[in-house]
Amino acid sequence: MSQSSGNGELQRDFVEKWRENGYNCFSSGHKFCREVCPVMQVTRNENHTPTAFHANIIAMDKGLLDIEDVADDYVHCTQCGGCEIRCPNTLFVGDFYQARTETVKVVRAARALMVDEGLDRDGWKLWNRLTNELKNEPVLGIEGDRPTGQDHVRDWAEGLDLPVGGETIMFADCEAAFYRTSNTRATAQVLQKAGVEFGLMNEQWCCGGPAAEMGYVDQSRAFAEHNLADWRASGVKRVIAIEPHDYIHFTEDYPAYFGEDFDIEVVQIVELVAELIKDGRLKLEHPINKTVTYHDPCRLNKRKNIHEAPRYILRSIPGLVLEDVDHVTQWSYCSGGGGGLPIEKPEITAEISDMRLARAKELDVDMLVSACVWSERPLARAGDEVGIEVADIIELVAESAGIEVGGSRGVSQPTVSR
Amino acid sequence: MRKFVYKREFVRPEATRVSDGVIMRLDDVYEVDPDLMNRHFHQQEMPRWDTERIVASRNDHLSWMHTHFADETLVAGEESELDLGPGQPRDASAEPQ
Amino acid sequence: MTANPTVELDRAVVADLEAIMDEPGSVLTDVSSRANRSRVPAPFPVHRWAEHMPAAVVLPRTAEQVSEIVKLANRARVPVVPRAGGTGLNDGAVPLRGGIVVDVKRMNQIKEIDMIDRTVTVGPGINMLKLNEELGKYHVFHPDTPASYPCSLVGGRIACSGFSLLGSRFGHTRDLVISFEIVLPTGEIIRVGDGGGKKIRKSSTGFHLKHLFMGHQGTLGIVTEATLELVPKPEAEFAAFFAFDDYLRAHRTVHGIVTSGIATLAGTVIFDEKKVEYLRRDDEAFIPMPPWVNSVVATALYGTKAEVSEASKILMDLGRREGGRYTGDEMAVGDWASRHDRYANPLHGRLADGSVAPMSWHCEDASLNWSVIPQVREEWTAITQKYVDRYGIFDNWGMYCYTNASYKPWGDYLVEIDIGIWEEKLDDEKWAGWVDLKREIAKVSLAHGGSISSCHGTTRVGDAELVPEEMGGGWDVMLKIKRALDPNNIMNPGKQMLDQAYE
Repeated sequence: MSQSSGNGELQRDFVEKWRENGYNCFSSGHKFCREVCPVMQVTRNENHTPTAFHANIIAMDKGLLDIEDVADDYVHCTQCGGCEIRCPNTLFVGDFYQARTETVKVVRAARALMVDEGLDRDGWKLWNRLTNELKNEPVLGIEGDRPTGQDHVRDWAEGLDLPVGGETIMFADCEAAFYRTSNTRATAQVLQKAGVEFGLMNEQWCCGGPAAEMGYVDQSRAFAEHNLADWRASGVKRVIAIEPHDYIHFTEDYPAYFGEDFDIEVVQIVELVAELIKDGRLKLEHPINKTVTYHDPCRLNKRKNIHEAPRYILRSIPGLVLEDVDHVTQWSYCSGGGGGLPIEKPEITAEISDMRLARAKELDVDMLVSACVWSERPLARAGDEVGIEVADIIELVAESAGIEVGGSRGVSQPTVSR
Repeated sequence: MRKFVYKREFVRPEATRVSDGVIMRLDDVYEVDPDLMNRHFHQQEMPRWDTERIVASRNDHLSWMHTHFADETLVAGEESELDLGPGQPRDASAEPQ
Repeated sequence: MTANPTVELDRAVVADLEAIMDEPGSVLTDVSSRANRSRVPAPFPVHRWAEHMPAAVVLPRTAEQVSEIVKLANRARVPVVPRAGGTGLNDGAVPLRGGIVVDVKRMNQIKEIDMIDRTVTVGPGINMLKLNEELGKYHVFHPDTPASYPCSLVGGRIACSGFSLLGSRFGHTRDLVISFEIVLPTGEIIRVGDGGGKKIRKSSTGFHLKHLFMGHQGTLGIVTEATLELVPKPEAEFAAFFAFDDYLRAHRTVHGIVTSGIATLAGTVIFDEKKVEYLRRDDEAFIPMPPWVNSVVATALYGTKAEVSEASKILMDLGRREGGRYTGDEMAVGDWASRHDRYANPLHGRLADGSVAPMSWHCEDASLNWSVIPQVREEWTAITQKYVDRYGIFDNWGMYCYTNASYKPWGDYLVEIDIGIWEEKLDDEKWAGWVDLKREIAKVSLAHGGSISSCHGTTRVGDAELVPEEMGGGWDVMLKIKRALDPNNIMNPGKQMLDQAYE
């Protein structure tokens, strides 16, 4: 058994806090989660199962191992939530007992313990340090001709004449603000075309979600406090989250941080756009003659049960043929882009994305459409290799609405030097 | 289109009792009597969207299972008879009920 | 022999394993890899976890690697424990003597789909639901569907000779596996089937070795490939549930249904009084049961629409003959679909004061003839209540009886009593109590001419001690076979009393 730093008190607190979650899984140990887990589909190593993530808590309680022994194991998770929803403890009785499987929280808490014990991973440490310096994620690395940071956070909006502030703001995700600017531009112009009144955030920082996912709880909270204060100062009442990761963070972590003080209304872009189409406020008149299949982003489908709106949108685009794979089958699909995995285990992310594109290839389609800009980077890399284009759903909506989007679908792979 | 509003998610409606050990707060969503919990296992602070997600996912999963095993699921197309109380055996010559 | 546990491997042995595998991350000796391959879902002595940890874990990809690993284990006299899904319910994959866990999950490929001669050949590490997702594209399926359908793996199904919910219609694992490749305890790779043909279902050539190895519980080798049956995907399914106030009427109803001659009948399940009481705790999520309901019969048909549609009318009539009340379409649809992942949730557990406690699930799985079921139900319920009262950490979750034979719905039943155990509170005394409970229940099965286990196996304490009694004269034959095939007792040693082969 290895030594942990300090007197083990932090680990004991972790075990105390998560023991019940641990036992609810460990006493059952039925592993219905295993075959839906995207990491498990690649590694087939039981150490990386949600079962192990929970069993480790009991093992720590029994003195069999310490956080140091399992630190690398907890890196192997995209926090997609597939295991949580599939687990019968959630799916069949979670609502009845008002107690469900919470693997995402367990993994985050383990990663937070790793940070507190000085066991955090080098790549994550650097990523989050840079995020703290730039106030945005270093999605372009620290080299390159379009650096990130506050001086450039609104560059994507050039020529769009967007106001700053107002009751409703569009929260521009870091990956979309700097890397896949076609997404932010498409979104803003679609909203403009539909006559939605909105502005941009006054001081647009990262939502703080990735820090929470990788275990940097204090930083996540600090960013959340800044953002909420900025919204209050600008009179913001409503936030349009254009990215599933932000939507998760605003609807799960911000309420946890602020309680009933969190009085901001949050809507998700695909649901808003579906409503705009349904109400006739957004007309999709230009055909897109392509055969496509839809990728259910994990943080929309598995974590939030948002899967009807995007399909409605795609079926509303003239000329588009949708070869659909149902959203329950997609509980086991993933891009591998979440939870900091691409930073620490890029080879696993790549294999998960390759598997996703192999599924798409079987359907004989031109294009894989996603609704999550973070998924689009690994999916696009995999798509290039098999000759399938990867598009964002709002980019297609913009095209069909006759909008000249501009922006870029992403520069070459950035490197974050160590 | 759903809108996340804190009060809607976290302020719980009043419970009505369904049976020993079972209550109901949201329409058609049964819950354990909270008095039976929180001694050896604690309830979580589950926002309404999460309960709704679980219920919808369960129904979708069960439908998926049906399709997974057969092209078509046939049903008797008859109402529940449970309200009639226990039935009696009939002899083979009698008409079915 | 390997009487003392191997808790740590010689560096030389580890080096040899790494040379065989020649792949980083395929030979694991760290504590996390070992601790997380100690238990299976069956109740586990968590207070003695360390005693059930292997010394090392290997993740092979080929039969040749498995063969070399087993040969090395013989040379080094180190136990080997095969592990597929680790989802079994009788500790088949739990190391009792440390040693090397051979974890076959990376052998999960679909190697061939033969739509002409109707077989699919796979590695032992593949899950049936995942397999059927692929086979669905061809409108066929491999209908091996236990309650662990979404998580168990083919290697484990063969090791246990598993039970399928649809077995009365399509057969169980032993019928649905046509032939398989196995690495013997001395390292030879052989193929076993009915005779020698890989895709031959019925033969009279030689000894029927497939049947010997089917259900071997990992004590006679490690499965490395299997050729499986492809069945046309059914056009239609139909399920109906009937409620009774009297268990005996439910029991008689089932007799009428299973002897009716309906060919599409896939399964019939009886719920006893305690089970209905248990389902009232939280299966309210499906449909509330009025207080008069004490027993339920569930039935299902699979086949062409023409057959199922007609048979459903007969079934509805048979379900009502003894006074059964139809529970409605909603339950028929919702509850039947949930049977494919029916491992029990821990929060079903209730203490004497009614409070909820997370419990591990024991699932008894005796095979018993229809005629003795009511009596067994009384005896098991009384025994269980005795232990519930005495120890305070057990809970009776009631009984299910499932039609158990292949291709016929009559004869014997998988008779299940489900017992909750508050694992967190286990100590040596309570664990001993649990084992006594288990053994008393198993003895009842033998007293009524049954078999201790329909499908989980008898590899754990509480069952294993009774295997010689159940096997009678056959026990000696088993010992001879074990000794002949595994001279050094390295293959899953200590299981099922087979150590007696070496005395």
